Amino acid sequence: MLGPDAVGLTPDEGRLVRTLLGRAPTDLEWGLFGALWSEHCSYKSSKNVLAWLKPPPEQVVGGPGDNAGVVRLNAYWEVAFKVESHNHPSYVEPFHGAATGVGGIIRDVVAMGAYPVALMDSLRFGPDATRLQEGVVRGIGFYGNAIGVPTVGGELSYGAPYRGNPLVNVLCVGVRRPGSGIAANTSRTGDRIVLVGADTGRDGIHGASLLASRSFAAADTETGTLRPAVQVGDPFTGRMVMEAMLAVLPSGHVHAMQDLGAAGLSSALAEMAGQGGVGVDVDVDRVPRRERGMSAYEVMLSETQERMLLTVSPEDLADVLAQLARMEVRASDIGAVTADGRLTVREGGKILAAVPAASLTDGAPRRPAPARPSGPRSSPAAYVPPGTFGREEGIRVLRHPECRSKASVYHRYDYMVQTHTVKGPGDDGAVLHLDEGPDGLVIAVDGPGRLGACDAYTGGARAVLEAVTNVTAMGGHPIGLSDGLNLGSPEDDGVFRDFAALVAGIADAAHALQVPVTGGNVSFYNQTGTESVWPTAVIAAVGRHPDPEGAADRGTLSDGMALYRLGAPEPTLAATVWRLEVGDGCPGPATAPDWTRARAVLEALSMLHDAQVPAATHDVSDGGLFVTLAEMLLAQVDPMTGMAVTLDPDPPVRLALFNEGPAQVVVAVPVDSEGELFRIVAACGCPARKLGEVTRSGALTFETCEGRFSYPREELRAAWTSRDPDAGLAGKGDTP
Amino acid sequence: MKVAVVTFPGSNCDRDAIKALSRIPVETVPVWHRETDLGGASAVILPGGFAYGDYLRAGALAAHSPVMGAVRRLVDAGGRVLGICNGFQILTESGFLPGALAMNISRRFQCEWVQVQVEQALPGLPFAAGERFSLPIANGEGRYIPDPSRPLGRDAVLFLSYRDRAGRPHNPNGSWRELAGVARADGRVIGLMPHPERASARWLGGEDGLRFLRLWTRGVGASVC
Amino acid sequence: MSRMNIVVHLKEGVRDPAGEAVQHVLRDMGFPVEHLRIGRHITLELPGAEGEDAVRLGREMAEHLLANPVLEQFSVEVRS
Repeated sequence: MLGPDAVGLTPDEGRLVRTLLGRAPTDLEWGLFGALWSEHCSYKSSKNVLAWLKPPPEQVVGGPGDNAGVVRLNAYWEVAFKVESHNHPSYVEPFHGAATGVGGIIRDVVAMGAYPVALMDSLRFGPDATRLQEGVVRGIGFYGNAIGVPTVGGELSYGAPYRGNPLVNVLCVGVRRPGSGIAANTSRTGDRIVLVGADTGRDGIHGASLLASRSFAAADTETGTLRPAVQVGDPFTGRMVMEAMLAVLPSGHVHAMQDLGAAGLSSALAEMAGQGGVGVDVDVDRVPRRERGMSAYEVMLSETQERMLLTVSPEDLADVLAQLARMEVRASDIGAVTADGRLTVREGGKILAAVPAASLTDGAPRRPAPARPSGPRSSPAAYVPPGTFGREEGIRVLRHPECRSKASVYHRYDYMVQTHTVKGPGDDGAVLHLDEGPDGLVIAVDGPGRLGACDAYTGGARAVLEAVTNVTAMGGHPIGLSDGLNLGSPEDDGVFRDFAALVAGIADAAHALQVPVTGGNVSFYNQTGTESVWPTAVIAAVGRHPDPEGAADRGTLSDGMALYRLGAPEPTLAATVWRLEVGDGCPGPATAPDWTRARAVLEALSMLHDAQVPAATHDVSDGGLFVTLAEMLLAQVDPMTGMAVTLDPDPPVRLALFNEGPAQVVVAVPVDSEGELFRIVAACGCPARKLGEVTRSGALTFETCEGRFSYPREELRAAWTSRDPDAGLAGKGDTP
Repeated sequence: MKVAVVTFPGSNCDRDAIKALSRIPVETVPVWHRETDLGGASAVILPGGFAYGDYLRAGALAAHSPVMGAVRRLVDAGGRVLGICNGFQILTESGFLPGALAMNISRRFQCEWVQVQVEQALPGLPFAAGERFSLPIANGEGRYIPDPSRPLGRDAVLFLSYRDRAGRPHNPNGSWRELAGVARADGRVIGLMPHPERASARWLGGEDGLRFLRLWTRGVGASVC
Repeated sequence: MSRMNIVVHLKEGVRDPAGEAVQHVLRDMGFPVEHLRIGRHITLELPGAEGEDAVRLGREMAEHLLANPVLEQFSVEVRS
């Protein structure tokens, strides 16, 4: 007989289970509680803190708690989107861990009745994690390229704390017609429950309760005891299931839809019933198996990928099954929705489990929220080392792994399939053309982990600001956020305090910028021994683009255009790539945003786009102004394009070029639009400073009180593309 | 006049091809791989994607789909087929075109814009030798390997080759003779790795693909505005 | 010198999507196939190693590179 310990529950939780049932649970019931009450499924540590993120209801169509958040784009489209992590599986088996992460988040969006239109991914590795990175990049490409959802951008960043705890966060964005959504739960008793997709095998049993809800002990990873929990990704079946699910919805025969992810059937069935206030009664003998001799326990807890669950009226069942069969997708009627509120599992005639569904989904004891932090713990000390700017510093910063071009990675992803990518990887964000309706969709993802290295509140706030700035810089109006939160073990009080601060920072930023947080994902236990990751918020922002076709023309620099910086430089080199590369190597401390100024910058940027000024814009982040200008220059096809920049005597050159203070953007405008720019920045109260102009010199040139510094385009390009982040690694032969 | 666009299990550029043809405009008919007639179409596109996951070999399993019999009958009757990317792989696997497509020399999936040039005009099609197109590629197995028993120049020809922006030969993936596309000598069967349907609007980065498809559909006699 | 055949295949219980797709098509073509699984077959020559030494080296190569221990198992066959 099993007990609480075998399924990852504490003795107290075990006693509570017995009390709830009024008897000793069966083995299968222990398995159900172990899975559903795991941190990964229940959010028992995080839920009370995440309540701080609750969006104003009028700003969202569907919010936290659903498979994905939903916001309204316009009269034609709603946008369903979510960030999800697959950190632990990707560490154990990088290729399939990353691949199944992509598949899982796609099914979350499909479960909202939305067609997936874009992916982005946010990857964090330790320095020189080349082999791990290669596996993850191959896995993402393997799945995303084949399933036919374009990977339109993302980010790749490094830091020592990610060495034993890589982060693989994936964003999927889908669109659906208003009113075409599908519920995740049901109240229609008598409906049949249909399991669709791959046959069930022994994949990933206890993945949620053990793999994703524990820290890696060194022994686990060395002996491979956690390894059998990893699943194999199958984008082919993934595509077949995705297309079939979205094809059966318009009939109206399907009343609820769930994807099978963590804890497989157990979790999908419990959520379907528990949140709908009904029961479900299923027979595991009706579940198609891939292997012989599987127990009911294994069938219920299997995490075989590429499966979904539907409920259908009995009278429509034959039609739905026939339609799925025509699409060559396997589907089986495995049971019924009942009125008794219980999750009942049978094997043939024998009942193996019968527990109140709501006790599985809502019964886990939740950890109380701590007091909500209202700002950073302390104001960060400025960091201004003595000395003057040296020409080589620009090259070193541009060549730094945080700044250099990631093109060799994103060219391995199909970013054009579905033929709607107007702006793809390499820009601040992506712009999609949705074929119908007046508006395009802007997407950006940002997870500046090192900005949270010293203060989690600041890290959360800056992540939101950066994502929103990126959407705005692409000409979009932000309409929603999703957050992927990555931390160490919540059992560590320091980590839990960081978690609360990270969430508070996100909540305050979302409020200050008036963009709702629609949901997301919390990944704890990104910790090996005592080393845990920086509290890392990966924020996805989506926005409405009023002129997606026009967006195609933005970004081109022409001779004589005036260069301006919106926002103001910060008088510190703390939390900069310069500090990592040239300074003392410390990652922080970062400064929290001044929301008044940040709003002014964003508003000015928006007005500039909306006024149809043919501007090129690029936000200032990793590497500061120097890298921003270099990237704008290197994005030009014309090799003669140059920039002549004149810096003020104050601040000193290093501060001017390399500070990474929040809310700074470079804009290039035609000379005849400068008046319009002045009018806009004045109206918004946005600080703005002319930097110089676009030239035909083929070089980036700075006139400063410390001298004249000129960087020919070819020198910049060589530095920016210097180290192919995964050169010489391909071909381990792990692609099926 | 209609163009059939086949969907194999795992195709993912079928809708893109239909969208692009609608911009010409050309009437299209979607065809599931199980079907054995092409709905009265006079030409057919085998689109890109990963038919059957490209498991075993790219295109190998789709080559046995029922619809391929209908494609063969159409070609025998004088119709035309255009295989794009995975469609090209299916055409070589099923023997419509000689040669095979192997893993890129980089051992990677490559998604990028390339320039291609028509190397040889084809009967009944208005492509001019030397004509160039800027098109995206997106494949992991696009390196053409000739079949020594069916050398190009007899029943099939080197139709498209990769070029750089200045028009010099350029090889993104190690393909034999920079080959980007093969055609049967009578022009009825064309396979190419680049995706014309992806270059079908200015805001997608260019309209050369639309020009390519327009020329091809003129050849098939489809109604063109 | 030894000649070696190393066969790498997915562990029992690990899903083989490629095998499933191939089986599906073979069945469509009329072959009544079941339990199809796809593996990799590697042949190599190893000068200067014989018998047990060669087997040991073969196993090391398989463990460290040719097979992915998370997913796969392998067999090594040596002929001198």
